Parts: sequence; C-alpha cells; structure tokens
Amino acid sequence: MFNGRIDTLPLHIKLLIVVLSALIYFESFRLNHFLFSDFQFTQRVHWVYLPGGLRLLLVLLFFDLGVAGIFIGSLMMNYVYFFDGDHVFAVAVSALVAFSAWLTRFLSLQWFDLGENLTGLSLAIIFKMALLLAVLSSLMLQCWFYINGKTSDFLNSFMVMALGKFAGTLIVLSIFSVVLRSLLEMSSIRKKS
Amino acid sequence: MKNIYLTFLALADAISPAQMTPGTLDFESKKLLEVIYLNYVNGTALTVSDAMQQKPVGSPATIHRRIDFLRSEGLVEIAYLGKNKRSKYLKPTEAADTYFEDINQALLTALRQ
Repeated sequence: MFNGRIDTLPLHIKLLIVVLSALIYFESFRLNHFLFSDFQFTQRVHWVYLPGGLRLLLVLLFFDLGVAGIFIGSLMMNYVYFFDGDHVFAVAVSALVAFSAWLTRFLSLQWFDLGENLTGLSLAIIFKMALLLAVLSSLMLQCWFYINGKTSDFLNSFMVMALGKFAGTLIVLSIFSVVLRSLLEMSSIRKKS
Repeated sequence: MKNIYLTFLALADAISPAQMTPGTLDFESKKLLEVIYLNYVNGTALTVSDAMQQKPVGSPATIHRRIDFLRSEGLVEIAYLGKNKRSKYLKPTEAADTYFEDINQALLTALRQ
C-alpha cells in the first residue's frame, strides 16, 4: 500500500514518477514555446519560462526522483530542439539544470530552516526558493554557455534568463494554487450534496 | 523520512491555505483552541506571540491564521487579564466553554453506550 515514503516505493512506481516528471517537463517546454515564443530574448533565453517553475515543483514534491526526471526531460529537450552535434554540451546543460534544482532544495532546507518534508514552508519562503533557483540555474547555465562561446552578452542574458525563470515559477505556482482551490471547492460541493 | 504526501500537504498549505468554513473547526484550529484553553484554565494564559511558538500545532503563519479564524468564530478573544495592562492574552469565550462542554457530553454519551 502506498504510504508516501519515497524509500518504500516499489521500483516501478519510482520509474513511473521519473518518466512522468520527464514528460511533463518536456511538454512544458513545448507549451512555453507555443504560448510565449514571442517573448524569446535569444535562443535558450526567454522572458517567461514555464519549465523553470515546473522544475521547482518537481524537485520539491518528488525529491531525487524529480531531479532525475528533470535531467531526462532536459536531455530530451536538448536533443530534440537544440542539438548541434555536441553531446558533451547537451548532457552538461541537462546535468546543470537538474543539479541547480537539487542544490536549490538542499540550500533551502538549510537556510530557511525547513523540515525534510517542507514543514514550516510559507508563501514567502516559496518566493525565496523560486528566486534562488532562477539565479542559481541561470548563473550556472550562462557560465557554461560563456565557456563554450554560446552567449554574446553574459550579464543581459543572465538577467533575462533569471527573470524569465522567476516569472515562469510564479505562473506555474499560481496554476497549481488555482487547481488546488478548484479541487477543494469541488470536494466541499460533493460533501454538501 | 522523505514522504511525498507530507511534502505535498506542506506545499499545498503554503500555496493555497485550506479554506476554513464557518461553523467547522479543522484539526489545527481544534488543537490550538485546546492549547489556548488549557493554558488559560491553568493560569498561564498565552499571548499571541506565545501561541505562535507552539510548533506542534503548526508554523507561526498557520497559527496566526487559525487565531484569526478562532476569533472570527467567537471562540477566542484577545483581552487584558487582571491588573496587567501591558500585555493582552488569548482568552477562551463562553462559546469555547460550550464547545468543550458539548464534547464532554458527547464523550459521556459514547461511554454510556
């Protein structure tokens, strides 16, 4: 029986979480491209970036399984949309994306005095985590792009990327909040009837 | 112990706090009312700040929301106690007395059956 504990989950459930996380992450990029393609600053840098927000949600909810899903989803994204023959570059970008999410969770637990299962979490702390993830992830990626000569304007690209990820996180969390409220309302309507 | 469900609850509560319906008390509100009531009758009434440190009940933000809810439900009021006019304390109202009396009666009825 499912008790929510990660360490007691059967292997096939863990795999399912990883695969679903990867697919959701990948699809969020396609959705982002569909909705906000006009808001692209340069290639790979967007003013609004939904996968950035989803990253926070996945790593918060599913721990290391979420990180694995982000890595695989990011790999898919890199190979489908951005691959230019450089395997090391594509894998490194995906690893940095996943690692920045893991690091954000790790640092947040230390700095914001949260329990392992996010006890003590508040809206203010979520905003701080979103900001931390946006900065860490953008900094790591832009450094990697710069080393490989794939960014012409480090500072501007970093700032736009961080803002885009922060905006994406706010949108994803707002959608999550609206869905939760709708579910609560539906459940209370059912109870009353 | 890493638990997806507990994490989800913490995240859901932070993003979209549970809507408290008038006339019903959720678990945290009940627990908080008990803590406030017991401290009051034992002569160690809590201030709002004291109550917000009750970690077993919830985070300070959660407790603050529950205090507001208990006040809006008329179960708790904030008042001066005795001659001390420097601090205000959380004081259970007569409605809280009735609430605990109802629970007591329900318990007695259950025991008789």
